[in-house]
Amino acid sequence: MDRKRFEDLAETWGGELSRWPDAFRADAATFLRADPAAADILSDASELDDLLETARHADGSELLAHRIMRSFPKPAFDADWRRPAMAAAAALVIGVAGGFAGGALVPAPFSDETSLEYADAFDGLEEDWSALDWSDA
Amino acid sequence: MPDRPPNGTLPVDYEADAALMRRIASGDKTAGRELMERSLGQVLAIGRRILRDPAEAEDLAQDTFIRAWKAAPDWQPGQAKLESWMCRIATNLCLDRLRKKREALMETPPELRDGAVTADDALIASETGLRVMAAIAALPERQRLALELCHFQDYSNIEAADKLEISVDALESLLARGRRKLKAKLMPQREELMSSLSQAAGSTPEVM
Repeated sequence: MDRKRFEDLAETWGGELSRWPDAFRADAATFLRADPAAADILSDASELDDLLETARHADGSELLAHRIMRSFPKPAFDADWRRPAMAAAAALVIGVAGGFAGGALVPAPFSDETSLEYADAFDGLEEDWSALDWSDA
Repeated sequence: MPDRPPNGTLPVDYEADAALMRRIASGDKTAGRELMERSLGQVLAIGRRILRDPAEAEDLAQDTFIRAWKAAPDWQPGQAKLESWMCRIATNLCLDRLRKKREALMETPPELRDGAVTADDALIASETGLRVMAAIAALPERQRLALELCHFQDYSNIEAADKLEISVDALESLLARGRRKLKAKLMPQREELMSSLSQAAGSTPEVM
C-alpha cells in the first residue's frame, strides 16, 4: 500500500481503521506503522467523522413518543398458551380435590348389612328360558 | 457485521436486551416504552437522513417500533445489539419506502435542494447536527444511502453493495464522492460547527 492508496481509503472509509473493509485493514495497519504521515491522514479524515456523528441522533417530541406508544400491541388473551392451560389445570385440580373432600363429608347411604341384604335379594331366582322359540335366532 | 460499540457506550449486555424483549413479548408496555426511549433518537435520525422528510421520518419511526414489538417473541439474544437491530429495521423500512416511491413515480424522486431538511429544525439534537443533516440531505440519493449504510449503520462494503444492488467498486465510489462533497461543504465551517456543539453541550438539552 502506498500513501495515495492510504489517502483514498481514508477519504472513503474515514479515520478509524476498524471501520475499513477487512481486505485493507492489515496492509493499512502496516503502512500506518511505517509512514509517519499516515497518522495525520487518519486524523484529517476523523474530523469529518466527528462532524457526521453530530447527525447520528435526532430528538423526538413527546407527542411522537405518545403516538408511537399508542401503537403498542395489546396482549391477546391466548398470546401465551400457558395462561389458559394453567387455568384449566387449576380448575381440574380444584374440582377433583373438592370432589374428594365433599365425598368424605357425606355419610355412606347404606351400612354393610343393608348392602348384603340387597346383594342377597335376588338369590335363588332363575330364568326359565325353555318356553322361548329359538328357531329365528 | 461485527457489532462495534460506538465511542463511550457500555459493553453490550445481551442478557438485559433479551430480558427486555421477553417483557415486550409478554405485553409489558413499560418495556415497550423503554425500547422506544433507548432507540427513538437513532431511528428518527435514520428516517431524516434517508427520507429527508420529518413527517415521513416520524411515520417510519412508528412503523419501526411496531415491527420490533411484534418481532419481540422471536428475538435471538447474542446475535446483534438491540439498537443495531432496530437501526437495521429502520433502514430496511426506509429503503422499502424509497423503492415504493420510485416505483410509483417510475423515476428517481427529485433531489431536494441544498438544506432542504428545515422543518422541525428544533427537533434535531443540535444546531451543528442540523447543519450536518442538511449537508447529508443535499447529497444525491445513492451517495446518501452509501454513507448511511457504511458510516452510520456499519455495514461492510460487501453488505452495503448487496443492499443497494450495486458492485463493491460502485459503492466505494459513491461513498468516496459523498464524503468528498461533505468535506468540501462542512470542513470550512468546522470550527464554528464544533464550537456550536460545545455550547449546546453546556446548555440543558431538550429531553425526549
